[in-house]
Amino acid sequence: MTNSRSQSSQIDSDLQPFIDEFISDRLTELNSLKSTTEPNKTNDIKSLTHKWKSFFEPYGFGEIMPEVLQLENASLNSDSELYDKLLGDIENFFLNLPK
Amino acid sequence: MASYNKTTTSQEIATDIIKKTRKKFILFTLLGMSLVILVSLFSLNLHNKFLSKQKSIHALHETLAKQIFLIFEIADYGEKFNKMHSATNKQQIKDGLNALVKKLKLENENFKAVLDNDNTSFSEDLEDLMAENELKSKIREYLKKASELTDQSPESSKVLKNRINFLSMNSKDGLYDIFTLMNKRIRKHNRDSTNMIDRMGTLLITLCFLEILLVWLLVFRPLYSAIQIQHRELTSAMQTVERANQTKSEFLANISHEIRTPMTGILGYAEVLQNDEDISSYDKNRSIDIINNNAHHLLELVDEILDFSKIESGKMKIRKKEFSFIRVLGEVYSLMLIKAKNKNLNFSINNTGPVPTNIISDKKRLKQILHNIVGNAIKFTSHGEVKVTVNYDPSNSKLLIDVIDTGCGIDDQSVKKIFNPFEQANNSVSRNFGGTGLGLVLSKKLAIGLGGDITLVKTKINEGSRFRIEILNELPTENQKFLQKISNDELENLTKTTEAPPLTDALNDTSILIVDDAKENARLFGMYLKKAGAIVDVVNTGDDAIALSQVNTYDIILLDLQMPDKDGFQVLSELRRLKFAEPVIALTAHAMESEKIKTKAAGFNGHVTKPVTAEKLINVILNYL
Repeated sequence: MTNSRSQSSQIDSDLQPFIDEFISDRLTELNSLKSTTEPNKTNDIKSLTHKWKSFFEPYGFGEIMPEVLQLENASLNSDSELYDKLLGDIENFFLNLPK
Repeated sequence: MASYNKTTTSQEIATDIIKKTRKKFILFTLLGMSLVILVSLFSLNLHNKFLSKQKSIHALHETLAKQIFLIFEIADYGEKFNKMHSATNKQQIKDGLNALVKKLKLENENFKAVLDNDNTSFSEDLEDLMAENELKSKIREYLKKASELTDQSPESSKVLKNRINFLSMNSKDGLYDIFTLMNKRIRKHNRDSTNMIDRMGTLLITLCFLEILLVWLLVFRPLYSAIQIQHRELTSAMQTVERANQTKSEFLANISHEIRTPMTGILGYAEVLQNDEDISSYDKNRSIDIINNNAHHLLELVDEILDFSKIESGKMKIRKKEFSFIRVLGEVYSLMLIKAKNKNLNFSINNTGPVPTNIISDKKRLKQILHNIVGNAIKFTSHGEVKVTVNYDPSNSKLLIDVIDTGCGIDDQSVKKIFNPFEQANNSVSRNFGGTGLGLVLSKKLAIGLGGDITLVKTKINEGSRFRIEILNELPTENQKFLQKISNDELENLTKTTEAPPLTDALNDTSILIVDDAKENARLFGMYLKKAGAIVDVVNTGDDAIALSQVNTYDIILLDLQMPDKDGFQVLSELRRLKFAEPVIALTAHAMESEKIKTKAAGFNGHVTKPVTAEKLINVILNYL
């Protein structure tokens, strides 16, 4: 994951004030997953990715959607190795967003 | 006579009739009581008047009799005085005379007091009689002389004698005659009064009969009439309800047929697709087209039934705003031209005078009306043409749209009922052309809602019909622009080139509840819909949604399917159980077709897959308003 990926600027200006909160909420969700153990972890990932799919794009984070969809598939296949990697990628994405 | 529409329940009719009867009963009872009170008061007043007169007569008669008696006694004393020679005896006579004079004076004052207190014509008559005979002055003089007798000053016997003689003479020859005359007059009044009391008895009996007659005429007769009228109303209402039930049964039979026909097509072709593995690409596409067409037909049918139900329950909302009337005509033209061409019919839209380019009305409903009336004209015309003529009457700001066809026309019997719900011209129409029989009545009701109407101007069997649609344009005259000539080519191009209308204000004053446990989505949808003019409430749980739906009125609910406590299906079921009748749209991140089938089967009115753009979300909502 590189720093070149960022939030899209094509989002509604009314949503802009909520972006910091949005990122913070995602990092909190990712962190809480770290402390979750199987089999709850798979279910939590399924639930989270289902939710993320519905709003990542309108908030300007469409760029990370492929990883989110892969993560959902990984959780459906209970592929823990892959989804751990993807969780890391997504976390890095949010942590390395340009200020 | 009251009219009851077909949705009025028999309980409502009965309550209405009972209310009316109660009102009339109260009114006529009050009227009757007032009449009885008035007549009783009149009788009491009459009785009191005669009683009072009778008392006065009695009192006057009594005092007059006493006075006559006293005058006689005074005269008698005068004679005794003349015969007396002893001074002691004379003094005794004088004292006795003095006492009699005092009594006479007192009785005379009583007499005057009674006369003064009585203000009837009777007392005036006595006063006149007294004045005529100078009774007052004579009495005054008589009493004056009598008073002088009581003086203690020494007087000559001669003077005293003269005075006594005066009293004696005046008693017999003067006052007695006048008093007798007055007594006669009082007796006459007494007789009159007694006769009047006799007559009053007759009068009161007559009044009693009159009262009974009036009470009958003004109370019981109207009440009886009211009961008769209400009986007729009830009978008529019952007949209307029975007719409505019968028509609804026929409608249900018709609608069942209407639903079964496309459904059979859908099921049949779905089975072909499912079972025939070797189906050719052509047959596959044809089967899909047939399924698609039948599904659309079903949807239209359901929409018409829902619209009718909304109008009947008064829940149909009219949303008026400015829009391009010419563009609406263009849209109608493009759509109807295809239908007309499919039947080899000529189709045109013309104007006979300047037509406003923009109007203020409800665009969606106007289009619905035009689609229906023009669509009907095409449906019932097998050859010839369908022509739409647009005119504008600036005097009452009304658009006059005539839809003229060369179709089958409507027979005289059917003309009377074409605007009745659930009825088509005749049953063969339903068999030959399909339809619910709701389109025309729906359009008429919508046109009335838009400040106009729809009328059948003329029709002739096998020659065609002419319907007139009137729509009120609420755009102020000063803001209006007019198009002199409508060109059909331009109308057709209009729909091809014009951009989609802006979504700002598309949901003006629409009340929407968003239910989504993800605050990001709730915030996002809220923002989209508020920008389109909607009034938005947002909740994050199903329980909150249910609670809020019972407190506030919403035109539509957007309901997330996947929520932690109660999911969307449970919430919908609870909402419907609580009689929430407005559309509920499912929100879900599942994009699979099976999810749509599941939501439809559960009773959701629509389905939106997240993420969704503002435009798509608003358009979905607009479809259900």
